[in-house]
Amino acid sequence: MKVQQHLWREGKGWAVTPSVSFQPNLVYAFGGIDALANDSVYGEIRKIYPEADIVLASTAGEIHGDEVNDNTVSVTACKFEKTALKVVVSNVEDSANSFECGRSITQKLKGEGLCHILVFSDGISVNGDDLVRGINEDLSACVIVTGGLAADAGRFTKTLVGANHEPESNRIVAIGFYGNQLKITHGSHGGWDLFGPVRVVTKAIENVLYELDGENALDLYKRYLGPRASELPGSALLFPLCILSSDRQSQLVRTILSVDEASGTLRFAGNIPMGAQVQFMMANFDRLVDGAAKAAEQSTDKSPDLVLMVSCVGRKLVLDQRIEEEVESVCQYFGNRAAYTGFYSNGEISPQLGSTQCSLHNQTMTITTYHEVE
Amino acid sequence: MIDKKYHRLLERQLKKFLPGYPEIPEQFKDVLSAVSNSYEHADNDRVLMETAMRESSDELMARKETLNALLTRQSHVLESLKEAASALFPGRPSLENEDLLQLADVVQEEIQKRHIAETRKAQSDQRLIDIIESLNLGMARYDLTGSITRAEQRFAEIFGRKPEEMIGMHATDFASVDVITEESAHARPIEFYLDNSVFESPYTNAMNEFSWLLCTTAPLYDDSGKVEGGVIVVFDITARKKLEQEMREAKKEAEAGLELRKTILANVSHELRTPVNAIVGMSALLSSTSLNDQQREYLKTMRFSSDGLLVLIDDLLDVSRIEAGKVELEAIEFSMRDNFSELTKSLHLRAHEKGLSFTWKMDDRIPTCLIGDVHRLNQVVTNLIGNAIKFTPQGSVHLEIAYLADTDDAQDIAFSVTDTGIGIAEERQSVVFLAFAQEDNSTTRKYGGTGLGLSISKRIVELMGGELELRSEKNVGTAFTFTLRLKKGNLEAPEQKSFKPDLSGSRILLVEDNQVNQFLANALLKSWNARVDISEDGQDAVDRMRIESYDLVLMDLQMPIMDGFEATEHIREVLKSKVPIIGLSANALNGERERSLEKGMDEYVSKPFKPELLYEKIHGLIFRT
Repeated sequence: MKVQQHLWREGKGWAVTPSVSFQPNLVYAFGGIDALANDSVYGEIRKIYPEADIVLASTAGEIHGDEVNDNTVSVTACKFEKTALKVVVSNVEDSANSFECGRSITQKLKGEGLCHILVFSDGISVNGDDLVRGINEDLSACVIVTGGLAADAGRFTKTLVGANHEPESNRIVAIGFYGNQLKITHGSHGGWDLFGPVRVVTKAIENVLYELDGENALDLYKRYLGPRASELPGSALLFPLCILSSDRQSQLVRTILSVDEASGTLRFAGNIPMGAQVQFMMANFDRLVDGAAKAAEQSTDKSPDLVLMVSCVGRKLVLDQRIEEEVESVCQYFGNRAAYTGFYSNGEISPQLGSTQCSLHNQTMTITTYHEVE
Repeated sequence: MIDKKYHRLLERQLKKFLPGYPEIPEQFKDVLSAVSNSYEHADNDRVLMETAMRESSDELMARKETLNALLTRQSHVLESLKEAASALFPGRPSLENEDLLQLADVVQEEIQKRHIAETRKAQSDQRLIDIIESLNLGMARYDLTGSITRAEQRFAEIFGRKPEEMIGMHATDFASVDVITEESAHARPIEFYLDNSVFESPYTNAMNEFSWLLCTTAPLYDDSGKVEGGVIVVFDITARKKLEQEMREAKKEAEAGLELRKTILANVSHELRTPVNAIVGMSALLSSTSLNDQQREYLKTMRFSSDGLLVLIDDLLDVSRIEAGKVELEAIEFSMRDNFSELTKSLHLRAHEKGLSFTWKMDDRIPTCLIGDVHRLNQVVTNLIGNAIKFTPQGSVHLEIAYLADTDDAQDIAFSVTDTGIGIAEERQSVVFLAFAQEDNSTTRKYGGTGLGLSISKRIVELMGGELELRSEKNVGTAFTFTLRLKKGNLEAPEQKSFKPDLSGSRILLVEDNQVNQFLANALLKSWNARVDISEDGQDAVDRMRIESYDLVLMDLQMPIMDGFEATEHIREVLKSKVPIIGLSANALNGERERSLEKGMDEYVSKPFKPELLYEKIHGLIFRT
């Protein structure tokens, strides 16, 4: 497979005028919300690659090579020579719910040789958990599902997703990969530290949390955030919630998407089960960076053609200027031969470690590697 | 110019290390902004960490305190549990353990044991109930209000119901009336049923079956010894009750029969006495006329027969009197030796006539004067000796009067009559004292007699404070013995009365309607040299009394026109006369004697009388002053 990358700067245009050396069949474009909304980047890309499937998603930071940028669009054109592709777009508003959306995506993509589904979804209006469950419901375990929820620079108001069209809200784009010569590997890791008491979810409805240990959850968050409470909901990313399994062996991390001051509730990117044991998490810079490296190690392909990173907006908020350290640690692992792209998302989709079935993650670095074998 | 204020630390660093500060070269501005942002980010991170750590620490501390409190409480609970467990299950060393789980295990184990024990107890209770059921006893339990909490099968059956139907019913619902106390069961307080009580009650059950129930109740106690209710055991005694009723009715019938017999006896004796009286009287008079030898022999047989008849009638009367408790003993002074010297004369004769030897012996230590009812004593001894002679075909009869002991004013004396007669078989010895009984029917056929004598003797001896005992061997002989305590008298030697009847100068009014009796009495009185007037009835007697004066009145009780009681009343009340009156009646029963004395008579003599006795009474009354 062949890969070519270009960078668009918001309000400034292409950093280097793109020169076309091959005709790709798939183009990824991850961009800042304002760049995608204002600059009509889709049209610019279409001019360069008139025949490729162009997939766009808004971000909270674009990964381009070993750099992390804001207010840019990272464009990666790929030519899959031995793999067939199929792109579908769904409007969340057309389905009863996120679960049904997921189910219909699988139905549309199911077919001979399906080995991978890459999903980019609206990051505000979609319940990522339900979406993933819907996709999984009627899907063979050998099909690897990865992807992420679009972001809006941590504002949590509006995200954009699209394929072969200007990106819009409420859209879900899924790409089916078919064939047996595409080698896909994946990894996912967080690196957050648990702290504080273990709490029990005493009131929650789907992905809306009301009470922990009988105490209003929003009040609890405000107490812990102190002066940063004014920065909610973004600052809530500083203390993700870890849902502990009953044996405490595995954990699922959840971040807050929005806050409802009137009802004192928090809406999460995934469901919060009633009665679950949860614990606050906090960042440890070194461990976050290590976490990214560990995610890379889980991706067993040592020489991929393309490395797609979907990392969490929460990590970027914490690491701030040091955010590139985690990208660098991934790049160091895979070396110079591979091309790197990706974005900071509102939620990561990747199989749980030790499982083939994908789930929605938060606060992790998830990695999908692509390599077409001879 | 400075576009933007940098972080405080960066400002100081620039001031210190950047020459030309506050002028900043244009190419440094972006990098300095980034550095400043990093500083601020680090500060914010620190504040965030501090806040979070403080909150977390506070929360953990609070939780720790909660846990500590919980732990303290738990350790108190553990101690309490251990104490309670030690008290409940003494001698369990494992209770010293600090582990709550182990304590729980111990308690669990002990509870299991108790459960097994309780199950066994329940089984044993059930066995007990089964036994009670098999004994046909109905059992039920009730609470403090008397409301039934458990009824066994048999209990329910007795009341014609199912056990579950009995639950909640009241104990008093099954006992309408207590026949022992005749009180209404409903009126009784509940305490009665919560105590040990026994009562009988009639009950008609739901199936309309009548039964008699014997009920016993007892209190039931809880573990602390408090009464928590009661238990009732019910036994169907209908059969027994029926038998009892039949026996009561039979007894009533028997009593009525006895009463009838007494009445008949009294009437018959009255009817018998009158003619026998005449025969005896006439025989006595006839013997004082001149008779040839043949006539004398006939008369002798006639007198013997009429005497025997009189004895029989007397015996019957005695039995009746004794049974009615109407025999009163006299206390008169008498000489034992003189009495028996006289008495044995005739007995000697009777023995001699049968070819038997009769002997008697009396201890010299017996005083000359004693006090007692000598007539009754003689009656007993005569009867015993008479029997001895009768039942002894050959050999001897012996009377022994033996001294036993002295007290200050009395002496114990033993009387025994021994013979060498036919004896009485051992198994019959207890029977011979019963009225109308002889050793067996063949005896009656061979020896005659009514079998009343021994019964009367035994009763008389008992009345005198002794006991008639019997020793006998079949075909060897019999000995009757009794012991009496007799009071010592004052007289040196009681005057031996010589019977020379003489009522010269006395005027006597004989009131008698029966011609034969009238004739007899008149003849007797005249033979005693009394002057006699005769009235046919009470009215005539009263009329005579108004004009004549008499030394004594002999008053028959049953007469036409005016009977003896009314006449006596009239003489005493109207005529105000204190003339001695002796009542005469052939009816020896039904309190005639008492009634006579009550009406003002001085004495009472039953017909047929012995002339000696009548004379004694008349003489005593006329010459008493």
